[in-house]
Amino acid sequence: MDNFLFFLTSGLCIGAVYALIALGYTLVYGIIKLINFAHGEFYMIGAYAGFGIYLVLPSGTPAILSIPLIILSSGIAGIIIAVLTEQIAYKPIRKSGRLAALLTAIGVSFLLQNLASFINKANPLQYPSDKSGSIGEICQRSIVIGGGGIKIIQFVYIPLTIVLTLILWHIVMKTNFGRAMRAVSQDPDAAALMGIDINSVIRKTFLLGGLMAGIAGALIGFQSVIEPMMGFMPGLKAFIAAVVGGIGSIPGAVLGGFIIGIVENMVLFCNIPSGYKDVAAFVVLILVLLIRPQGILGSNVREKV
Amino acid sequence: MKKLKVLVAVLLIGGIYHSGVCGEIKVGINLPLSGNLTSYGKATLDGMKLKADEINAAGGINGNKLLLIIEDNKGDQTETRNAYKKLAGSDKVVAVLGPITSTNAIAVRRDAAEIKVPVISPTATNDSVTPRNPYMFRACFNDSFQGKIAANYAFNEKKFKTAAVLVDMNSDYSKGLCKNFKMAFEAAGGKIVTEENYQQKDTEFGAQLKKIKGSAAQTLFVPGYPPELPLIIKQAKVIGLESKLCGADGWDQESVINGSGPNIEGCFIVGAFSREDKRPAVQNFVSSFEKTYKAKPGTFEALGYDTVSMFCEALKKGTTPETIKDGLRGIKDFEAVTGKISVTPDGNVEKNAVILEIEKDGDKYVAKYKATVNP
Amino acid sequence: MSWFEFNSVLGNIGIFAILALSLNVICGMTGLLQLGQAGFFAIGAYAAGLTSIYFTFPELGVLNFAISASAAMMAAGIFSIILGIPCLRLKGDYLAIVTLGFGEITRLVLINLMFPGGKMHPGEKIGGATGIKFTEFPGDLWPNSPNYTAEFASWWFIWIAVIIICVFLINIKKSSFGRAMMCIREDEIAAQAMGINISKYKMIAFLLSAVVAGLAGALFFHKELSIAPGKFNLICSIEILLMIVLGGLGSFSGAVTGAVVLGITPYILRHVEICGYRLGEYQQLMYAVLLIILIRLAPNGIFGMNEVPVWIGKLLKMKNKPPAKQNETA
Repeated sequence: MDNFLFFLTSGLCIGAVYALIALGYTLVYGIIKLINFAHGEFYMIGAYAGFGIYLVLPSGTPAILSIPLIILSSGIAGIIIAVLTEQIAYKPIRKSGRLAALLTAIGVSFLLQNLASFINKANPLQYPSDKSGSIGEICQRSIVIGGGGIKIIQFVYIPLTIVLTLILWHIVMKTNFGRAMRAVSQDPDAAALMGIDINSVIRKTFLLGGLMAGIAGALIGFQSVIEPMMGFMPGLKAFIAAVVGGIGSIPGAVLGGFIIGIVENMVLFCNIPSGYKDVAAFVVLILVLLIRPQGILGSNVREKV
Repeated sequence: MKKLKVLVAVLLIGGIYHSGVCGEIKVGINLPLSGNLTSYGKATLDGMKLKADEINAAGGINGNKLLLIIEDNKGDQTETRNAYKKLAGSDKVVAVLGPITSTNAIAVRRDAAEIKVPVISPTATNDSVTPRNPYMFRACFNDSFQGKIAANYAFNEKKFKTAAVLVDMNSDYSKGLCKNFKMAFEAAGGKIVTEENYQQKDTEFGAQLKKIKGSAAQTLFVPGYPPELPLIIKQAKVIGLESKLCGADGWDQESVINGSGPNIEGCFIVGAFSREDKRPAVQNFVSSFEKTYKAKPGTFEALGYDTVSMFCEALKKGTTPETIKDGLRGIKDFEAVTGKISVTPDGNVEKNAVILEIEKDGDKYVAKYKATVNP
Repeated sequence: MSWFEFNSVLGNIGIFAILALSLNVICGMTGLLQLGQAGFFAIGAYAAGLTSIYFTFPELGVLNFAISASAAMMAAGIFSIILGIPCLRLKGDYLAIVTLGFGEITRLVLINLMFPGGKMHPGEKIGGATGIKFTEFPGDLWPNSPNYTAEFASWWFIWIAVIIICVFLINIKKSSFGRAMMCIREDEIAAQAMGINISKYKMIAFLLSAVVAGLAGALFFHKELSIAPGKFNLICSIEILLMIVLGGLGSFSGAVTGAVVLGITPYILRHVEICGYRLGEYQQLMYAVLLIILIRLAPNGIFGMNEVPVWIGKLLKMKNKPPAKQNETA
C-alpha cells in the first residue's frame, strides 16, 4: 500500500505535465487537423529558454522571484517558437494535404532537435544545486511519500495545470475568440465566409499551445535534466494522451494526460522492468484506438460522401 | 557544382602530396568529441596532444614528426567503425588510438583484423576487447582486474559484507565490471544481495534505488558514466540510501566528483591514476599538463598521454603497422604515468591500479589517493 | 575513399534501397502512412540473427542465409498481420501514430529482452541494449570449418536482391493487385464503391511491405554480424520515408534512386571540408531542412509516380513536341 501511494503521486505529477503538453496538441489538431510533431520540441525550447534566463539573472536573486520569472520566460519562448513555426513552415502547406503537413511537422521537429544539439554539444544542462537556496537545490528538496522521495516542486504541477486548463476552458467557451476557434475547427471555409480571420485564429491557437508547452518545459527543467532530445518522448506520450482523452477536447487532453502518467507508474509498481515504462503509453493508445477510436471524451464524426 | 569538384580535387591532391613528402608518421585518433561522452573524449585528446607535442618538439621519432588525424566517433558504434575505416583505409595511418569505450572498441575488432592497422584503446577495460585479435591493444587494465580490486577493497578494507550493484545496460564496460565485481566479492566471502539496472539517458532512478534500499546492502557498486552517475548519487541521498557508494574509473571526472552533491563524500573508486603519486613520471606529467592547459589532469588525460607514449615506444621497432603491432607486444616494464606497463601476448596490460577516496577539500571535493594495488 | 569504406557504403545503400522499396508499397502505392518500418527491419534482423546464432550448419554454406532470411521474412510477416488487423480501420494521422508506436514498442522491447546464448555464447544471455552478435571465432564452435563466415551480404549480393525486388514490385504495380492498391490511395470510398475489398488489399500491402523489410533486416545482420536496437529507431523510419518522398511516392525506381542519393551524401560530406567546417556534422540538420524544403517545392519527388523508363519517355516526348502553332491567328 505504501508503494502504491508513491507511484500514484508520481503518476499524477508527471500526468499533469503530460496534460499541459497534450492541451497544446489538442488545440492545434482541433483547429487545423495537424499532428504537430514539433510540439515536443516547443516544450524542449521552453526548458532551454528558462535555463538561459536563469544564467542571465544575477546570482543573488531569491528563488521566489526567479522561479516565476523562469516559468514566464519559458512560456514566452514557447509562444515565439510556436508562432514562428506556424508562419514559416505550416502556413504555406496548409492546402497541400495530410502527408505534406505531417512530413513538414516531422522535419521541423528534427530541425529544432538538431539546432538544440549544436547549442548544447556536450553534457545535458541542469540547474546547479550546490548552493543552498539556489533554484536547483530548492527543486531537489523532497519529502518521502509512500517510501519514495517526491520532489516538493512536483506538487506545484497539478494545481498549475488545473488553473491553466480552467483559463483555457474559459477562453474557448466563453470568449468571442473561443467561439471563433470553435467555428474554424468545425468548418474553416464557412467560418471564413462569416468574416472570421482564419490566419489570426490559427496563429493565436498556436500561441496558446506554445505557451502551455513552454511552461511544461520549465517545470520539468527544474527537476530533471535539460537536453536536446528531451521533448521527443514526452511529446509522443502527450499526443497519445490527447488521443486517449479525445482529440479536440480540452478536458479530454487533461484526462488523457493523467491516465498516461498513472498507467506508466503503475507499470513500475507492478515490478515490471523499468525499461518497459515507455511501452505502456503505446499499449494504452492501441487499446483505446481499438475499443473507442474517438477517445474517451471525444465525439464521433462520420465521414460523409 | 564544378567549382566544388575543383576544390575537392585540389584538397585531395594537396593531401596526398603533403603526406608523401614531409616524412611524417600519421596516427589516427578515434574519439567521441560530441555527444554525451564528449568530456571524456576531450580529456583523452588533451593528454594525447600533450605527449605528441612533446615528441615533436624534441624532433620527432628519428626525425619524423607525428601527425595526428582526428576523427569524431560521436560515441556511436557505427560511427566508430566508419572512423576507423576512414583512418586506416583512406588516410592510411599506421595506428589508430581510441576509441575509449569498451562497446565501441569491441565493435572495431572485426575491422581491425581485416584492415590490419593496430588499435590502441586508452581506456576500454572490458575483457573481450583484446584477446584473440593481434591488432587490438589497450593502455589500461581490464575489468577482471578492476572488478576484483574493487570487491577486495570493499570486503577486506571497508569491511562491507553485503553489496548491491547497479548496472548500465547500454555499456559493455559497466556490464563486464559488475560481473567481475560480483564474482570477486562472493569469492572473498561477501554476499551480493541485489542487482538492478538502468538505461543510458535515464533520469529517474527512484525505482531501482528503492529496491536497493530495501535490500539493506552495505555498499552499492555503480560503475557508470555521467550524465546518469551524478543523478544516481544525488537521488541516492534524497531517498535516504544508507549503502556506501563505490565505483570505478568512470567516476574520475569533474562532472561527477564535483557535480553530484554532498553524497559523494566518502565514496571510493578504483582508478588508474592519482595526481598525488610521488613518482617523477607522474609529477612531470602533472606539471607539464598544468602549464600547457592551466588545468589539473585526471585519469583520461593520463591514459591518453600514456597511449601515445606506448605508441612511440613501439615505433622503435619500425614505422609500419605490422612492426608497430609487434613492437607493442614487446613492451615490458615501460615506465608510464599510470604505472609500469607490460603488454601481455593477449594485448592486455599488466599494471597497477590505485584506490581513491573522495574527500572534502575546502568547498570542493577531490579524489584522494589511498593505496596502490599491484597485479 | 578506401575499398573498405566503399564496400560497406555500397552495401548499406543497397539495404536501404530495399527498405525504401518496401515502404513504397504501403506509403507510395497504397497511400497508408506507415512510420514504423524500422520495427519490421529490426524484427527481420533479429530473427535472422537469432536463427543464425542457434541454427547454423557450416556444411550448408549459403543455404544458411536462405534459412535465416526465411525466418526473418516469416517473423516480419507474422508481426505485420498482428499490427495490420487493428490498423485496418484507422485513417491517416491515427494510422501514422499507431505505426510509429509499433516501431517504438519494438525498439523498446528489444532493448529489454534477453535471449538465451545458446551454443555460440554459452553461459550468458544475449540481447538487450548491446544487441546480439555472431561469433567472431567460428573455429571454436565448428572445428571442421574454422573459416566459416556468416557475412553473406556482400555488396553485389545485396544489389542483386535490390534489382530482383524492384522488378518484382514494379510488376505487382502493373498487375491488378497494384491497381487496386493505387485505387485505395486515391479514394478509399470510391474504391469500395467499385467493389474492391479494401481490407484484403490493405492487409496485402502491410504484409508485402513488412516481408520485404524483413528481408532487408536479414541482409543487414549478414553484413554487420552485430546488431543493436539503437539503430532501429524513429529516425531510421523517417530516413526511409525521406528516401521515397525524394524519389517520388509511388515510383519504385524512384525509391532506389532516393536511397542512393540519401545514402551517398553522408559519405561525401565526411570527406569534404568547407572553411574548416566538416559538413558531416551537420548531416541530420541538413536532412531536416531538406525534408521541409522538399515538401514545399517538390512534393512529388524526382520521378513522381512514374518509373524511370516512363519518366525518361515523357521527358523525350516533351523535347520532340512540335513548336506551338503561333502563326495561326495571323
